[in-house]
Amino acid sequence: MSDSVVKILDGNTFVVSDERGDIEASLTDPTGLFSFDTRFLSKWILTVNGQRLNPLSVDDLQYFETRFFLVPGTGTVYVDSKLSVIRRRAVGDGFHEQLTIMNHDEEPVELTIRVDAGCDFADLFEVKDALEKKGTYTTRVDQGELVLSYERETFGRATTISSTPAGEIDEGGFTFAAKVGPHGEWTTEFDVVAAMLVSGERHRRTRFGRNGRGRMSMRANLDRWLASAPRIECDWEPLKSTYRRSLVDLAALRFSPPIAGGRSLPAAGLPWFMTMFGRDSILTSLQALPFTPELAATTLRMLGEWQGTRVDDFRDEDPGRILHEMRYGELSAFEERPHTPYFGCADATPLYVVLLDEYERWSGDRKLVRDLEYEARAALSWIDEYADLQGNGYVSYRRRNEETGLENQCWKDSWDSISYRDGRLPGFPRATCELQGYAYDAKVRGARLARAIWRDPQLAERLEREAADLKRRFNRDFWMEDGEYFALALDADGQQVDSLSSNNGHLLWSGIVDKTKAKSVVRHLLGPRLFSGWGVRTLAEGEARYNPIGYHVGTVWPFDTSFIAWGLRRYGYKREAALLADGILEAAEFFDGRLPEAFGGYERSLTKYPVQYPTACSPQAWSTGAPLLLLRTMLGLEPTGDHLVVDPALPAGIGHLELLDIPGRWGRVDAFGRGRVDVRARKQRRD
Amino acid sequence: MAFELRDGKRTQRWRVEIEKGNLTVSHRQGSTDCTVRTTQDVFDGIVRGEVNAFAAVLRGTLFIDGDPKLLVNFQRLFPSPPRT
Repeated sequence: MSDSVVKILDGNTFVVSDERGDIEASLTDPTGLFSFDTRFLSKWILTVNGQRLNPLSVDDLQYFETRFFLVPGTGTVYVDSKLSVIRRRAVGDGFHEQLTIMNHDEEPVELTIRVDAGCDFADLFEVKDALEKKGTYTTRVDQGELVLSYERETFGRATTISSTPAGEIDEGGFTFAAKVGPHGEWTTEFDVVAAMLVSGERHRRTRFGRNGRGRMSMRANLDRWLASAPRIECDWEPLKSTYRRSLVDLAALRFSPPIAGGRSLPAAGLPWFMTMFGRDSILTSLQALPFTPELAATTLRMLGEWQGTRVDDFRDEDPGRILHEMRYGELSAFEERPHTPYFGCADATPLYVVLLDEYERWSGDRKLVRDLEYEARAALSWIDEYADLQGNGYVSYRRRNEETGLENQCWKDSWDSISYRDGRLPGFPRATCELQGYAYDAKVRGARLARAIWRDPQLAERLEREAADLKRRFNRDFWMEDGEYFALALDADGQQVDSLSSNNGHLLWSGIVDKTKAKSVVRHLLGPRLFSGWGVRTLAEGEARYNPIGYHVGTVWPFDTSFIAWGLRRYGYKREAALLADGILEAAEFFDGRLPEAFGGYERSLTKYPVQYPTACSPQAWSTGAPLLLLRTMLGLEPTGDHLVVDPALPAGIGHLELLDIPGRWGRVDAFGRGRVDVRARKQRRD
Repeated sequence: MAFELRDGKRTQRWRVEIEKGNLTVSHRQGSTDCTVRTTQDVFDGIVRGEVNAFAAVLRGTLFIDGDPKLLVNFQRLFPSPPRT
């Protein structure tokens, strides 16, 4: 995404435009109005007297609302400033735009104002992969509205555009003849509504989404959201603004699936991933637990509703499996893509149990754990019955949908993410190491829930036995004697895929690592091959496929580093965890508090600033969650019984840190941390 | 749940009650939590595991009035797709 792109959103409805507020999308370009994975407007261009406008500034009012300040005239240095144009746009069931033109002259002016509109109704997948459409388009002017629609068999989507006061409408857009007096202004308001066409009842359009939830209530909702989160006090200002940015972005990324009864969970990221993802929704909910625990509850309920119940190769579905991704566009509707929902991921299922346990430890919500007993048991059974593809007692993956399924079903899901040191790619099935850690943790946590809440001590004992056995085997089979770290994976022959990777940090988080091996794992994570100075590289420098700007083979992912910091805390490495927190939070400062999905793995001393990965999504849910999890690890927050234990270890340079009103089973409590170093040390170091 | 299944010009109305795991199918009238309207063909496809109910909603061949969650739950009753 270039810097000149402006994005506003509400749930999975969003608008991406240029700095003028114009939309001129090509098939491969993710600009436009999108809702439920469909583009509802691909052209939206404003001209005044036939001229395009020049941007002066963009004022982001809220994540769902923005204002563009424009003047006529393009391509010249001199700007005729006798007219100003303001477009104020807010997202709802589509968007609402107020267009105002001000005449700063002593004389009246006559203007022809034109807005060109059009739509290709592309599925988001088509935009990503540049595919052709199969249906037919209709454009008509009907009772003061411009109706753009697309139909393929029974599938129908429509965009309805109207203005107040009404202009002259033709099939290509709106024209207004305006006379603006001296120092006067002219204004009109547009409503752009995205809708699903009900076949045979064309006049009745079903609105998606939130049924016209007004902007005022969206503002009130955001205020409530911010007010109910813990407050931060800190002598390092950028941390405060990063925290606020994270809370606002998390609010923006909230998504209400149609069956959630108005409750929300975190969608994965803008622009490509504004939907429910098993892995992303779970990991973000984990990061946000001390701050907004309701996200975890909705994530658990929704993923439980959609849990796999049968064997379906097209969807890579098994009984008990937690979904990977849900989509609502045309290709999903015609089952040309498997996303209704698609199940091809090997980690969301054990992580589901991990989240359920962690959620209960924080919230004390035993009822939800009882309500989801069946789902949690099914998830635990999946690990043994469906995920052990090689019969060797390890979770592995191999897609059954060879056409449109995912090859790599772990978080590093790009084609070259799993490689040997020499760069070769292993065959399938692949048993990546972190999956074994998650499976171990799921069994340990499942055992606690079975004993404490489901009253099934036999299940608890069996799970504990299996966990202990898995841990013993794992520390034998994945441990690389020569490198003293855990192999990235076992290949189809059970041989080690010998690269050094950040996955080692997830192993610490899961607790599967033998205490005696933790020290050398930590040495690698903080060592020069993995630690860039900002965070932990996905793949270590020196591996054949290492590339500092390779998606999963050398970049630093803030979310990845945040879970590694949690892992370090789990094994008692407080100082090292604080060092990682420091790196990521200082990087956040360079992005105005909004961490991208990934940034370059270049050595910190080389570039001095973190280099953003070229096409990274932003905001991205689990990057948004990273500062939240790092606040937890810095303060050492750990629910123990009915209390919250606080055991702070702050990075050098933070003098004091307070998190006030942390919600949980204890009601609300405050946590305080004091640093060891005077704040002035930070200023000196940064100069 | 109520099902209105269109087959040419005929529409059949069924009522499915699920209570504590017991399932009753009847033609009785009365209020329901969710009404599903579709064709007999699409419904048969769902029951055989060939048609995905959620994709049918997105495609505009199946409509829900009421709580859409029940349709998700209802689909759990049916077998795997034959292609698997």
